[in-house]
Amino acid sequence: MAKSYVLPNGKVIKKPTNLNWVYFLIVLILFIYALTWTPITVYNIKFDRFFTLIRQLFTPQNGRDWGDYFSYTIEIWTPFMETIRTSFAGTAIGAIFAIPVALISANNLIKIKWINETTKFILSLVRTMPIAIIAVLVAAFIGFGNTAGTIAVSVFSFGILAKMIYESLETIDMTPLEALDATGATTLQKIHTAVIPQVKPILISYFIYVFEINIRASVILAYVGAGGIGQILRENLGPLEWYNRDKAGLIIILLTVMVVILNYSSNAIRRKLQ
Amino acid sequence: MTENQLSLNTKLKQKPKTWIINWTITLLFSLFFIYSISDSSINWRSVETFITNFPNTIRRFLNPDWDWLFGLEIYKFSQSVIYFSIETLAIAFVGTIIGAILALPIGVLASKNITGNKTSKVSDFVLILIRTFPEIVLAIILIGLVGPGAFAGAITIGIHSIGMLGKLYSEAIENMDKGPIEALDAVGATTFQKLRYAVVPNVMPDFLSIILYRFDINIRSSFILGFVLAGGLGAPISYASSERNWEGISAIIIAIMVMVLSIEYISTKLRKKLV
Repeated sequence: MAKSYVLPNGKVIKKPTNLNWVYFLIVLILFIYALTWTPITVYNIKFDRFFTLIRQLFTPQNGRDWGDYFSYTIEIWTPFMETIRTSFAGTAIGAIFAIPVALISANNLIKIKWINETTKFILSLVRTMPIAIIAVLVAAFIGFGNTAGTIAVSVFSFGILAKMIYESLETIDMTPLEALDATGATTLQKIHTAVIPQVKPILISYFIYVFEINIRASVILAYVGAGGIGQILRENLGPLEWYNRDKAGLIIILLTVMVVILNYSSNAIRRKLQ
Repeated sequence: MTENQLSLNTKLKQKPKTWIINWTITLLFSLFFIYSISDSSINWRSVETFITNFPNTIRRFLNPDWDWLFGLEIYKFSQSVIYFSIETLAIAFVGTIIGAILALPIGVLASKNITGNKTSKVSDFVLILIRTFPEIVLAIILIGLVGPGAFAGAITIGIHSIGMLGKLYSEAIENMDKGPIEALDAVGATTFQKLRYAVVPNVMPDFLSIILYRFDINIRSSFILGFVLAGGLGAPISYASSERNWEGISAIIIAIMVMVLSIEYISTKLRKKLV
């Protein structure tokens, strides 16, 4: 039973019941139920297969040496750049569309509630779509290829960027805007001198963050028919291509290095600009 | 020119010339952008085919395959979109819990105020590596270990989540309020007591909100793991799209939208309650 205390003035104070155990139990039951959907097949666990795969990926195979292993970079340079270009163009186009939409969704800049709510709802619908489905839909329009990849990446980036931007717009300091209001500035002047300087650093780091997501997503896009480095990775990773898995391994290393560099540069830029 | 104006002008001249940097960055950005889209081409033939098929496609799209969605008529429940959606949810849930537990030790190690500069830097680097390793490749490697199926998906998500969860954990620990620990120090509490009464209550709401946030992300990423046979909706997406089964894709899109939006709604509510 919950403890209760009687205060001198006659008020009774009850200790709040601790429901943590109930919550814990609910999560535990859900977890056990979810585990029945993801059955662990112990007899399937094969460490030898796992280590073979790791060795095939990260050491030279099929009579190649380490020199050949790394010089494969030159061979895949064009598709690698293709992936970077697709991701970059997609992120940039997404950002160009995201900024105005974010401006009208932010409820402190445009104070018309139904506009804010409608755009936010549309944005959340866009964001529910996995990039692979967007790519399939776009490819149905214009056929598979770089352009389809770029458009899919831009739609996907648009959804994320617009949300991130309006969220940071809603937390900006409003006093500069009020000061400009007092001087009779136009809307564009207000945006230029009071809004943009406040969100620019965060905007750049969001851009890099989404660019990074898109580079990783290029691997997924290969599974619905887009080209680029993902395609080559997928081909070399196949079950019958065991003698070429080292090439897939090098692509994995290159992608990881690329993303690590982006990660560090985004942190550095954020620190410098803030 | 008065003294005041003079000093104002010199002050203005001292202003850092940010416009040079700004314009260089803008120029480089635009050049790279033009280079990036320079070889985009549109396959006009397929646009033409699409336009001729457009009314038909839209009609099929607006007529979702309800039987497949709910597993009625010719479909068994275990073939339905709903079944795969639940599987996706289960994968994300199990994966998130695995990740949340595995991320605890490395999150603590990555906190500067607990382990010092060196250890935290190393742990941070490990976390970055985990975060950046392409998830789908991790799934392929782990399928090598445990065989294809939903469990492979769950551990992929679990391991991949460590990267972000560990980082956010360590940030929460670093931003923790020191007061309660000092108070317990003053009354002579043991390390365990300090953990139980000062650290855990302090960081628990943050941790739970981080885990919920990650659950949201994991649902989205478990859609795609099915492309490499790690369970979930990915495999149906891949089949339906290769067959141009628009009714099917439409059914899948409905399932995804309902699932993601409702989970997002619930988790936002829960997180608001926590913080």
